[in-house]
Amino acid sequence: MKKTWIVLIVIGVVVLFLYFGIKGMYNSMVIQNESANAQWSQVESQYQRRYDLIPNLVATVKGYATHEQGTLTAVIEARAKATSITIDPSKATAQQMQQFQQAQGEISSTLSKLMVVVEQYPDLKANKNFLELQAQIEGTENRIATERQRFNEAVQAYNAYIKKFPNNIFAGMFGFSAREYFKSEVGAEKAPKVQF
Amino acid sequence: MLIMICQIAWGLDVPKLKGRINDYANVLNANQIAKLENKLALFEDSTSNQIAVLIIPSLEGEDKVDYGVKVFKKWKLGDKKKNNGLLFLLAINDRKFRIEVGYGLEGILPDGKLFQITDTLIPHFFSQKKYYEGIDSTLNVLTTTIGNEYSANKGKIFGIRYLYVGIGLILYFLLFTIIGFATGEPFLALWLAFRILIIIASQGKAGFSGGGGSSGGGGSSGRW
Repeated sequence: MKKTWIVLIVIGVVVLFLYFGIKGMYNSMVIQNESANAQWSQVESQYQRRYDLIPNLVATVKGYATHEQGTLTAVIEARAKATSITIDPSKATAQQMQQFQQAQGEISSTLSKLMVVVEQYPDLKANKNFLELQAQIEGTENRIATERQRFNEAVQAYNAYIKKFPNNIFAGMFGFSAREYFKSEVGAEKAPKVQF
Repeated sequence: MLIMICQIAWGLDVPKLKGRINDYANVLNANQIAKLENKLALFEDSTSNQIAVLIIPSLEGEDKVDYGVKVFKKWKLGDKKKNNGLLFLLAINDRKFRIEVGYGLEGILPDGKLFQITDTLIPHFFSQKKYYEGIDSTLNVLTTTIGNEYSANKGKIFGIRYLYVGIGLILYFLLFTIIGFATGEPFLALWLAFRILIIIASQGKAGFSGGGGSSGGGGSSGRW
């Protein structure tokens, strides 16, 4: 009789250990995954801020740089294209991420060209409205860079956690897979940091 | 992106947070530092906003924005929940500045407004090497603009802190009294208690430290 009790108790303890161990593991994965999702929202809201600034910028420049329609149109089109791409960050494939990044890179690149063009219009460069917008765009680019970096850090923590042993055994079972990072921008130039 | 990560990993170190004014370039004298420190301490006491100034000789090639973000992340200016911190960074030899604003102050100090403020003040004072006047004026405008956006953290928190300290002291002296009576030397024990307490108290640093706030890369920067 006593032996049966001991066996039962040992089994009970093992089960308890397994339960708490697995529970902890699963919950950590959930928390880290959600943290990466939350950080993605931050990134998206900064991209959104950039979208919102562009119409104003285009309108301001238009008044002064009457011959630069081509450059302005490029910015508007890049923005339109980027806003049409939405991705679910927790399920995005490498290709989807690249598409998204490329679209954002296009905006950066066309903005960069616009800033170069603007150099030829001293009246525009002295316009207070324009200077403020320029400051806001620079600020937005900084914010985008910061939030993207934080997103990558969150994804790195998550990926490392689900890949290490013994978590990796359970990660697949629980439905957690490695996530994609923001890679360095493919092809497009970044908008220059404006020096005053 | 990769380049930026590398810079942040191996770039210029974040200096120690000495106080609200961290003059690592020696452009301010002790008197000026004291005045500015008082101004900012008063501002924090009445509004809970944490402003710190960092003056360095040079960024040594690092980007002023990246560095500002890095310093802010380490110093954690501003209240943890309110994120109402502000970092005013100056690289004297590079003639560059950066104002890094915590998440919570982005509303009242948006990029455009910051640009308006710094565009007028910074070149005017700093091109003439009037560092104290420049920092003082800028801080004045910033504190006035922020105003009463946030209110002080007083009351409950301080009350609890004093309560714990009070209880701790009572227990401390009780312990020494018991030891004193046990050994037959109550007065010696109490005298020792006082001496030890004074030594411990003088070690403690009643300094300034960040409240746990964070920033998102927003702010204003430029040169003079």
